[in-house]
Amino acid sequence: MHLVADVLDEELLDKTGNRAGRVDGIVLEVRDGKPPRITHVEVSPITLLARLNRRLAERYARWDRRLGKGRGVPFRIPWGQLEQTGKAWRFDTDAEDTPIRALEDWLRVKIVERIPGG
Amino acid sequence: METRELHVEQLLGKKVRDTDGRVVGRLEEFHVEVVDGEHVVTEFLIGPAAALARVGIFLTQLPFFGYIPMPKKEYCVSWTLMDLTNPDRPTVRARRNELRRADE
Amino acid sequence: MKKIFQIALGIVTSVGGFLEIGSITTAAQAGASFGYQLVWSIVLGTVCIAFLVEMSGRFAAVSKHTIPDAMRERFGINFYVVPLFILLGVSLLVLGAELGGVAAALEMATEIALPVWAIPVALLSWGLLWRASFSVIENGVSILGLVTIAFAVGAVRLHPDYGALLHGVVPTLPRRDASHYWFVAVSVLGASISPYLYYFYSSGAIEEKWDETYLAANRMIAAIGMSFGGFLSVAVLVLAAILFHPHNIDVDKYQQLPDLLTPILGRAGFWLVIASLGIACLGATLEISLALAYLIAQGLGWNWGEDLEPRDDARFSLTYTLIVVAAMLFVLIGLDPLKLTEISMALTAASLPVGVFPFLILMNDKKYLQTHTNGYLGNAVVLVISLISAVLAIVSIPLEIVGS
Repeated sequence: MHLVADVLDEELLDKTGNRAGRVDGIVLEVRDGKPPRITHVEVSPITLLARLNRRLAERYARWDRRLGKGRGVPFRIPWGQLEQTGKAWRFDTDAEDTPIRALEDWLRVKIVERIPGG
Repeated sequence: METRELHVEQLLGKKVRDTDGRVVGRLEEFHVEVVDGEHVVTEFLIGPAAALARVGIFLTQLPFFGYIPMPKKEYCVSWTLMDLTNPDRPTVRARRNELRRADE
Repeated sequence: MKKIFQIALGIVTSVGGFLEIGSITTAAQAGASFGYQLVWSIVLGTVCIAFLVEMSGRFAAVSKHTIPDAMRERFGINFYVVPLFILLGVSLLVLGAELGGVAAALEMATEIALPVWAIPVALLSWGLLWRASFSVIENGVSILGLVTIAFAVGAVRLHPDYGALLHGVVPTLPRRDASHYWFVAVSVLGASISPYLYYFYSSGAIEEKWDETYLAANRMIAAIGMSFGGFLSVAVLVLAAILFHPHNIDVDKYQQLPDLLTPILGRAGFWLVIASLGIACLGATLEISLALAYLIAQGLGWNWGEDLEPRDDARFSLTYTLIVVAAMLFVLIGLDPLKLTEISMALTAASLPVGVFPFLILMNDKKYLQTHTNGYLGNAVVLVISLISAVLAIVSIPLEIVGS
């Protein structure tokens, strides 16, 4: 397996089979005398923006931090929870319970449901 | 045992140097194997060509373009030779000409 | 039987969806200013878009990926943002032109000034996107778009000189007004080879759950649908070449468009042009808004789908909402849709390689297409035509600006 070709930027599906973002980053653990181990993947605009411009990512993180406890840092999925299925990676949680859907839910409640027909 | 975290997406595309300070190429790919039940990175692919090779596949599909010489394959560097102490300046604990090319 | 129906539907929607403000006005300008001489630019553009659409459908059917989806996966975010922003910028201008086209049709029909229509037209488009399913948008509007066949009827009635028309298929150097000649050629190319069209097509194929059994159908839809579409563009060019060119009338106002059919069909001709322009531009407005929302949503891994309720893909729905609003502003501030069309079509041509190069790389990737990767011919045709268009555009845009 190759991390860039097969994991990074691939699509993620949650437990219910819904799209749940993409693999925006991969975290390795470096240990003495042993090869680096994959520990998590990150799904977060913070990680994504950091690839383009770190200052932009920091600014987004500051804004995100105000949204509540546990926010302002990239959301992580433990590597052991991931499983490759067809063209995507599936993880064993409902995305509704994670910050992956936070913006989606916020927009739905604050805007979409207030528009007629939404 | 001391452990540190590294980010694949941040390392990707970084210039890698050898012991003499010469640029080997850019970090392009991480080869993963299962060792003792864990997914670990065993090899790093460093390419003067890795990115170009991807573009190259398509050029060779064109009439006449197949004759244009493509750059050589990327270097394969074992994790034992890779020094990632400073993630902004990854280095290889060897000389460039001692490194192994992919598919050799 | 189901397949035959789908092929027929696919062809009908490609024909109905082919003409929009870009292809109508650029073809009319080409015919008015240069007679049959620029037919080649329509032919070249149509061949190129037919190849691109076929590839796009094949890509989705075999790999189950849309193009934006695969581009993010294959090239990473740092690369992805480049075509994303360029396509977004250029397509927003095109979208402004299309919205303006609907408003222009309404102005000519009601004699109420164009900017007044900006908000109602944007609301109508947005309402359709918000409430209607993918097939209603794709099929419904495109079938109504068949009204554009009126241009072909008109052109045949005028008994064009078919020999001269055929001569126009071969590219020739301009006899006069060289910089304007190349600029119009480039606009025609940009109008035919719309990136949003082939990006959109792959999303449609995924929404309709295509698989490899659709490859033959896909090829037929692309070849027949796009040829008929190109044929309609040629019909517009013929009308302008016969009715405008001999009298040295150039097309520089959209109010001239009804004159393409009124001399032949009278009052009915007037209404047919209005209907063609209005429906074709409305269809294009919906397609472009969706295509751009897909481009963003798929690149970022959001939930997307025109068949989902807005509440199930809030980010996606709000993205096309913002896109429609942004395009509406162009019309609201009173920009002339014809000027906007000219500029946006030329810019489309200039930016073609940005969308086409990464797409071609994907089309030759066995990881996605297995045994169905591109052949020599497809690669060469698309690469050469898009490169020529871009080079011509980059040279002729400044010349046109200086000249006018």
